Amino acid sequence: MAANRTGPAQRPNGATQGKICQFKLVLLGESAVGKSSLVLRFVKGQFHEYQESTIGAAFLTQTICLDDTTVKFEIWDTAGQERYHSLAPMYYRGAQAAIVVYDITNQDTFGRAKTWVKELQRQASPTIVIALAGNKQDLANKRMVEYEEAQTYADENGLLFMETSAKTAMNVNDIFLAIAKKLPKNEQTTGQGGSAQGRRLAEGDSGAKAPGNCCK
Amino acid sequence: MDYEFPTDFDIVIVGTGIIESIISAAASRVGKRVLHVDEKEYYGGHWASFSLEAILELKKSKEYPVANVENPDLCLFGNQTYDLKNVDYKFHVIPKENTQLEKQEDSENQENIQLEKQEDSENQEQVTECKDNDENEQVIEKEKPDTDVWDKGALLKLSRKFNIDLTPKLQYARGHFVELLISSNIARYSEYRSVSRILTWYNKKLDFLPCSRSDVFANSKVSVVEKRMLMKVLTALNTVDKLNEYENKTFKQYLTDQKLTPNLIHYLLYGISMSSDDTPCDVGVVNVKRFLDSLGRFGHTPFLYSMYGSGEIPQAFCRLSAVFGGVFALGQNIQGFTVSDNKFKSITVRSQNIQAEHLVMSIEKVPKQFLKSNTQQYISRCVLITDKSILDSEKEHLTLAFYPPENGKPFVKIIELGCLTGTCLKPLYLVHLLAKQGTTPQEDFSSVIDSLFGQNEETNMENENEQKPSILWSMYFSLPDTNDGDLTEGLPENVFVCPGPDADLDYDYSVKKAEEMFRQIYADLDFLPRAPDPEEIVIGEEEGQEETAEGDAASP
Repeated sequence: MAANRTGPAQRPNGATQGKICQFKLVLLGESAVGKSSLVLRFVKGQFHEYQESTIGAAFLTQTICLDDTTVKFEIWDTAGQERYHSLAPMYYRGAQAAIVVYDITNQDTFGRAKTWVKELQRQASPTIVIALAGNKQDLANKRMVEYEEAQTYADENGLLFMETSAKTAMNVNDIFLAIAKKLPKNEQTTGQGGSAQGRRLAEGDSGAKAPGNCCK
Repeated sequence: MDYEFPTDFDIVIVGTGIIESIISAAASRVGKRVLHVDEKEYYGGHWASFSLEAILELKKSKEYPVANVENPDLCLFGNQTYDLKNVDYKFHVIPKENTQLEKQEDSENQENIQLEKQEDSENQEQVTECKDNDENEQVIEKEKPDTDVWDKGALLKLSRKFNIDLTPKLQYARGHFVELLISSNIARYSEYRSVSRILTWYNKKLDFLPCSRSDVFANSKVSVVEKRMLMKVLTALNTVDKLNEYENKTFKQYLTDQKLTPNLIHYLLYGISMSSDDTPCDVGVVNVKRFLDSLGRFGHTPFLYSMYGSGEIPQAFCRLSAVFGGVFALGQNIQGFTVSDNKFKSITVRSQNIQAEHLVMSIEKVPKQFLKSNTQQYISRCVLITDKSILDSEKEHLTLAFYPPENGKPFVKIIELGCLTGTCLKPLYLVHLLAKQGTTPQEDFSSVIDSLFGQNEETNMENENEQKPSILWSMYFSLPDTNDGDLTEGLPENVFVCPGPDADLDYDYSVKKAEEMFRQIYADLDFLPRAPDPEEIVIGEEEGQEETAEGDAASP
């Protein structure tokens, strides 16, 4: 995976036809709103009613085909580090997209989602694409957060917004697709000839030393 | 928000420095239940990176644990011995003239007057800062409109663009640490930049250190004869196992005996082997080998730097720990722990008592009664924000520079970071200076500062052609050096103490320490086996499957 990222044919945001673009997407939201479940539904097509918290989706990848572009999401789950306010700043680094999740049956989680959005606006890249997901739509009869309220908030803050259900799969693929459409697919450079992204270290690079490249 | 922690843990880790974090990841990875806490609101302890605003807070005095009335037997965490010392910072007022930001064409005189005024207020401000009550002043400064000078307000506005390391580290591309990052699959959590050039201060100016064969041959300052000599000695050093006849001699002696020119001795001694005049020969040889071995893997030089600062590295290990089920809590009121029969029993976090089989803590957290009273050594540190590189170039460089010892001053290593590292913003540079402390950080670095930087506003104003970078902000501090020896005594048998930062440029000492401690705690378990890739993750249909398969079925 990491090796692909540095390969010239699959440069992130590469500019050629039939290109593959890779993006880091982070999930945020209060514990138990269904972050991992959304990812598991999207990546594996699975849903577990009694999903153990955090296990399973801390680092998954999934690709979406969009016209002539393959969008590869590298999805970061919080791994439970949000539970006691210990989510590392590293988590947001270089993230090009985020899904902030709340539970439509729990008003507190919506308030907390707003805090996460603020945190992203403060900490993350200014070009990050943020989507707000009101999850557990299958429990709409126990709804505590009105659709219109969330939609208004999303509009005011320039967020994508959908109500989702990891259980019924409603809008799960759609929200990832909407993000994929909104992400810039052109090569980003810093204007100094260097890529904005750093180097990933991978086994592929550990091969034999190139002769002549060292002092031997 | 109120919460309670679970109570069933195998190991409790206090402090999030690099060694604590490696042990946390290793324990969690093999299925141990880890509780990892820190009293700080951030990861990394003395290994953290800070925004500009946050690093200024370090100057403020800390609170120390006071005896617990309810439980007088509690061993209270924390000691003052391993605090940062001599923390001092200063904002300088520099015109934005050499920068690519917009600048109004003011007349010289006006600018001069303005600068003097600002400087006055700056001096006053320093006095108030010492009293730690400059909160209001900071707010006022921040609200000032853009000016054409870099001053405190202008820099603080961009506070978050800076990631300032307390302990800047580089990694050898083929060193033990990089191999561990790759083999454990932790490397995927962070991104890196290669150091793109190595400079050395020689004959009163900065010179390129020839790293590779092509460097050696492209270097116009090295004669043809010297080139052959250098290649010969590098080849010899790279293949030799042990130089028996130099067992008690210095590396410098060895180089001198090879009849090398002063040029080459300089490159080899202070550059490639990062040695001092008194470095033993065998150490020098090992250093040269390590340098040569790491060439040509990830870039032009042997070194890598982690993007967004060295503080990302402990976070990457903590993340792996969390992914495998480690419970993390920052900003905790961690009071102390209880001991009976010379064994750690339980730790008090907030008001909760949590038992575990082992306790691991960072050296700063060790209760006073367990500290050995040996003479404390320090690492001198200085951080600068400058307006251009120490050696201007069309391309942005990530520079490692060596300033050899002279006139009784220590050997200084310099790491200069540009915006591509994610630690500062264009067109500014962040410069880290580090040395084994001789006297004070200010004195240890005074020659370097004089040689490489336009030290203050006045010299720059007088000397328009001066090409040296100007210092916009400087910070000095002493970092406790815990590199050598046993620092504690009489600890309960299931309590382990992690050393803090060492003076080396790399993490190899820390990894070695972490692995040693892990093996003491879990003798028969694997140390950081590879975590599975996303493609390999199987998520069980049936409940409990994850548990039976231990970590391997869990996510990476």
